[in-house]
Amino acid sequence: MYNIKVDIAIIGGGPAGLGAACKAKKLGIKKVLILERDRELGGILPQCIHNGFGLLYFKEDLTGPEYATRFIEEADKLRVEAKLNTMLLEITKDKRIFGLSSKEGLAQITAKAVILSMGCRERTRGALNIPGTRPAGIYTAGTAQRLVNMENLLPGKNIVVLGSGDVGLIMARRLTWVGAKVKAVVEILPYPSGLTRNIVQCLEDYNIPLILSHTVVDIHGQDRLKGVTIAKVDENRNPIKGSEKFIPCDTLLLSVGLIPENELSKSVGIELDKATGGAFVDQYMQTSIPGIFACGNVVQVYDLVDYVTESAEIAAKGANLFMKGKLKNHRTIAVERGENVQQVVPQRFSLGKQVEPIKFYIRVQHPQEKVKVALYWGTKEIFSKKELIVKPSEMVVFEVSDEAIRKISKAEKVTIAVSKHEKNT
Amino acid sequence: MKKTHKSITCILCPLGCKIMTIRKKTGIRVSGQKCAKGKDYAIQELLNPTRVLTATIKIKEGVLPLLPVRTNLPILKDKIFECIRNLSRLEVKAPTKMGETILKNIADTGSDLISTRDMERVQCKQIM
Repeated sequence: MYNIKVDIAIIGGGPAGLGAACKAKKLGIKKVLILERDRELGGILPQCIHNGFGLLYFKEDLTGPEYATRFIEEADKLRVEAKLNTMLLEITKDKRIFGLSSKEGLAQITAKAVILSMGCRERTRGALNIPGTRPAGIYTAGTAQRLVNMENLLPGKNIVVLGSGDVGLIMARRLTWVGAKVKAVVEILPYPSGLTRNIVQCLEDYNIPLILSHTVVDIHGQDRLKGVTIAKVDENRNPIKGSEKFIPCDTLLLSVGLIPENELSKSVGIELDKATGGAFVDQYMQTSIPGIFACGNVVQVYDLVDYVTESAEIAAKGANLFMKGKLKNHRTIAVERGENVQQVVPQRFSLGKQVEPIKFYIRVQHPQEKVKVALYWGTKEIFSKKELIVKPSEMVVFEVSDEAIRKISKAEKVTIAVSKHEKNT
Repeated sequence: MKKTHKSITCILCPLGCKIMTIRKKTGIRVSGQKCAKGKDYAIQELLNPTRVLTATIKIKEGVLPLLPVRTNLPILKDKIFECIRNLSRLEVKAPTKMGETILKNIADTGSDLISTRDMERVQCKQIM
């Protein structure tokens, strides 16, 4: 067993971990260590070979591997340390971390601050309870992406995609490009759940049908998938009898949502938000345990990697303040979800001597046009901004001014809500 | 020239305007967009739609069997499958660096195929 002491230990070397590590180094923190279970850094990015990354952060259109490589090179230059092939077992409240690697055996790392950046994983067939047989040929979209883009394997030739999440859309195009036939993308909701950009460039460009308000109700085939039965659903998402249709296919891809991966967070007793599936955090991305921060998709599933990097940099700044003892004796104000708000991060914020503007990342429950996103103290509106349209597939970034934050310094809790604004201006 | 209609979904912002384009002898009529940028986008998509192509090629002796690549510039949408046929025949040898040119002027598009990651060589050959 080896023992090491570091300033900041970062759990997971994907875009969140890399962003946090680079920022921490730039803030002058000496010993920054990334712990990664894979054989290389970058997280999921190396398999996301398509472009569309970095439009906000770098103002450039990069592919996933390019976005990752930029940070890996930066981390290398800044002398960020990394332990690869290392699986963590436990984190304790006093910030000791236990891990294993086949090369170095058991490890104990003691840190002054910890940043959690474990990312998320895909929902599987089991989470959906799709009836039918259990043949080969059913994959999550991300698994298919890894097979096609990194392992040189084609999962099948006639494909149906269930769910219109971004990975599913990207894979519909990718599989078309490598010679497979994508028969349809089936979405249970009456609107697509992926970005408009992907609907246009991955489906419309290749005439792949997007079948809304439908779901898979049966799976056929013994050894290999032979086809799926889809059916129309009513407004409560229940299949409508008599609307069933059989689609022959050998492969079903599931693109039905992502879940933050919080097993380690649970083991140390961090409070989790049911709405996001991630930790409750404040505006410094600090969790319910002082000195343990979280960033990226382990907190909330973001639409864009650029937002993940942004949250990582905030977490690194927070960890730096914590180590300097500047996050003590803050008063905490809770942020509650109001009308048409499915998720909001941060879920609370604390007030110290210095007040800065706070960016809230909001996911709405349903699409709505001509709305006002507003922060309320009781029934009093403190701050608002107008949006022409909001959709669950595209997060709303709501930056509240420091002036408005000062106005609510006496509040116990505030509410963020999205509602129709009266005047059509 | 015949009058042709084509509906285009704008991708410039979350509004996703459905823009109707009508192409006539006298020119192009565009309607349904909520901003000026949408008009330019629709005309570009109608006359000259381009995309960045991202794909993989085979790599020998790399830690992975595939190297991700892309075109360094957007190419005409109609040329995508021709480019894919061209790159499916390519094979390079590890190690490679991100940004290396793999193939110049792929399928006469004026765009080069470049690699999008570093690929190290495998340390030792697998016995099995």
